[in-house]
Amino acid sequence: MSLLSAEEVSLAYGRTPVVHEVSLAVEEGGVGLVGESGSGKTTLARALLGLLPPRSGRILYGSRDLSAMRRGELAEFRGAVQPVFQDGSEALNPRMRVGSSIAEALTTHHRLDRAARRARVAELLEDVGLHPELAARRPHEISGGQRQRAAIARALAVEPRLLVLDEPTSALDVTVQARVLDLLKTLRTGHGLTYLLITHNLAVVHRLCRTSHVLFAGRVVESGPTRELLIRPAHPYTLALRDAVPRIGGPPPRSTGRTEAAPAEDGCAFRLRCPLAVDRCRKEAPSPRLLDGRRVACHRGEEVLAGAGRQ
Amino acid sequence: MSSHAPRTFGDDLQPPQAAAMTLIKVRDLVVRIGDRVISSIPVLDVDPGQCVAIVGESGSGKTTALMATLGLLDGAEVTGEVEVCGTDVINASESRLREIRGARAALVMQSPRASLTPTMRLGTLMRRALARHGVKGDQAARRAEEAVAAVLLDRKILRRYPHEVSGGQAQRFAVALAIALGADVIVADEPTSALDVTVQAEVVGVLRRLRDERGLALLLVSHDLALVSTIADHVLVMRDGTVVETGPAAEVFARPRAPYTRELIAAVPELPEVGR
Amino acid sequence: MTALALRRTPLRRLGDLARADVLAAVGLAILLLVVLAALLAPWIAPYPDDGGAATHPAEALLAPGTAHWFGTDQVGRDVLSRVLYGARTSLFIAAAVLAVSAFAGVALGVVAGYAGGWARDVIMRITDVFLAFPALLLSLALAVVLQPSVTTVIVAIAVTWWPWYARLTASVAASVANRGFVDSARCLGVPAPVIVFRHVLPNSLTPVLVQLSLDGGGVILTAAALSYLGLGAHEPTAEWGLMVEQGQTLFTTDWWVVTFPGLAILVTAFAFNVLGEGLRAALDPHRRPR
Repeated sequence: MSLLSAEEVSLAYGRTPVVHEVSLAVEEGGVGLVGESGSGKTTLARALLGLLPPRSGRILYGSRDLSAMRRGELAEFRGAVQPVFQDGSEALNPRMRVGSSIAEALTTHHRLDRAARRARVAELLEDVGLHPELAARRPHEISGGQRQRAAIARALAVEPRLLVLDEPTSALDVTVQARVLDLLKTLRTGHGLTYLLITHNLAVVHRLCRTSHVLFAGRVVESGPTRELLIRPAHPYTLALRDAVPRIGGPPPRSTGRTEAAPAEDGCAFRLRCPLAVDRCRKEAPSPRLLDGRRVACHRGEEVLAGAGRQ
Repeated sequence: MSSHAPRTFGDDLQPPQAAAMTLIKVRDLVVRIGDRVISSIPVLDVDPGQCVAIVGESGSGKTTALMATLGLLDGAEVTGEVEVCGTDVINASESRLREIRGARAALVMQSPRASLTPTMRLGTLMRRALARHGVKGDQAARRAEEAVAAVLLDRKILRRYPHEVSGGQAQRFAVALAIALGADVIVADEPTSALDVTVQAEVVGVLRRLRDERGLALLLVSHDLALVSTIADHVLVMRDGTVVETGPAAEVFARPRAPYTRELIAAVPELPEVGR
Repeated sequence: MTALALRRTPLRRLGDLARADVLAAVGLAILLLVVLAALLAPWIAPYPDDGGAATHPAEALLAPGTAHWFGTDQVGRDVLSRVLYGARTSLFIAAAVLAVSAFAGVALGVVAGYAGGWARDVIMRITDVFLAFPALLLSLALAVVLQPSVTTVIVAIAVTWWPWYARLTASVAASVANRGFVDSARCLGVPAPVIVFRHVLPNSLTPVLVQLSLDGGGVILTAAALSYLGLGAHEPTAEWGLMVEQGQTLFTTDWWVVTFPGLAILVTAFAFNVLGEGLRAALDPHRRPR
């Protein structure tokens, strides 16, 4: 059974639908949610954290529906699933000292005396590679990378099983980003963690997640083993995302001149940006199907797999 | 490499003089606040049709260097030689600097939408900018459309308001505005770091095309080494206010000499090898 | 630089502000003087008894001179002493009104902003009802119904003032409620009241402080207006608005009776305003130099 899963989940902000009937399961080895801004990936993550009730469908923790949980069960869920947001300075209350922020996580569900609390805060800070003295600082007094590490320490305080990481490194400098990714890799084994990673950067997903789901306009267009998706995408959108990642020594990233076309209202939502779109894509929305070890929602998946649409 | 490339622009958009004049020339630039040197660049030249990138992380002094090049630094002591389009920036009058920044060396920032007047359609904005430089009427309209087409935007964008366009569109419009005014140099500060990878690829593609086809010179500041490797001809790597490595891009990326450059290259997250 | 500025205590930051913004510094200095005058009135007033019901018919309407710097009023009381005592009344009214309306407004606003949904709708509709009446008219109506007194003035003004604080706080709290640290507290299962007090409230107060400072002048003016209309403080209380009302018919002959309390109102309201504007500029993240 998977740790956390979404079943046919649709989400909306007010009257604006954002996510349409998405099903996915978070399993060991880590899961990536990949897509551009506006794809609904962050909204979906908020729903999986229990912060946004689905309009339809269910979010399951183990086999239990989040919306039907009793207080005790909810506390158990809160202790098992923790978020790490994009910007550490957002994740920490700017008016609280770093140590107090972490201590808050420790004492919400357990009683701890002062000395034990302090010792545990110091231990957590060391776990994420920070000096325990930083506990006395406020978020604006430490660097961006240190803030993100402190935010991770706070999430770890409740000894969760799953971390939901929303663009955890995109606000950081490259070298800092690399170190935070290394830290996340180390913590995974040390703390027995599973990650749900939300990002627009396929290279980052590749480092942390075995499985990936690619989101476009609130729908999963392709899901499967991350490596497979990167080496041989079956959806033209996955292909576009991959080919846009700049690489040292690689060919220049390609641009289609169509990245800003709005999702289509009828047929396949991606068709206005798709170099392979045909008449069928306008008439008929593709439903997800199994193809070569992954699920893909594209009429021309076979051709993309065979190399169509590449440079 | 640019002089023989086919031109895709109308006659109205005069390409810059193909003369081998160096558009940005920096010698011994040092920026100090009090006694502290916050940025220094011994040598930097940007020629027509060339992209030079300053790479570094936050606090490296890269943005300071760029601002000093355009004479935009207040409250800091700037010494050395800076020449932009033949004008001595350090000793030029404010009005002369404004003239240069307006027409010849355009600045493109991380989020250009913030600098677009929210109550004005993009077309109006461009027309007014052109009128300030004496281009009016049909000629202005033609120039605006050509400039917008040059950055791969639909001309319908001219009828939109800033809040109605996406980040990538706003960024490309800022570039279009610069070339409509006849800029020879575009100076860009992290022009794509707020954008999705797909949109980023498009903006960089547009910049590369303008450089190759029009001989536009680019001075780019970025923390993203991989991105820089896809467009820059020449690279300066900065750390703590000083240049730690400089050279032709191909050279620097293939055989980095400074340990810090190696660290930066190693930090770029990699995709599995794919046969594209 | 920014980090340094933020690390300072509020008092130090006020000092920084005073150095950076001359007008705000002037406002701050004037307000400090007014507060001192109010606190020390019994000791510094040349004729402390004249702050109250004393009468000296023989000395009525003396022009400003060495014995009475600001002259005397119709019943012979020292105008300077009454202006000093008047500072007590005006500041007390301002402090009471702002305390009551900020407390009520912030409490309701923060709940509305954090809770959202129907709670927000109900609270905001109630504030809309209060805001629908022109403030001065509502105050006037209330003051007419109640007995004229300082308390009446406080109640009448506070009733029209709190909805602004509720609205302001609600919008700030709603945006704070969307920030990462609130979400991460919710994900920890921190109880809602604790989230509101520990995370939302402290991060929503800055604009409220600015508004309080800007409103100080407005409250003093409104209080003076009510007293001027005979709906507020009454004899023998020293109150600037009341003094203006009592002196206005004498303006052409004995100008000092009305001029000095009028100036006191003007200068104090001005001081609150420039200080508020200065605070607004200093605390506005968009204007803070990088």
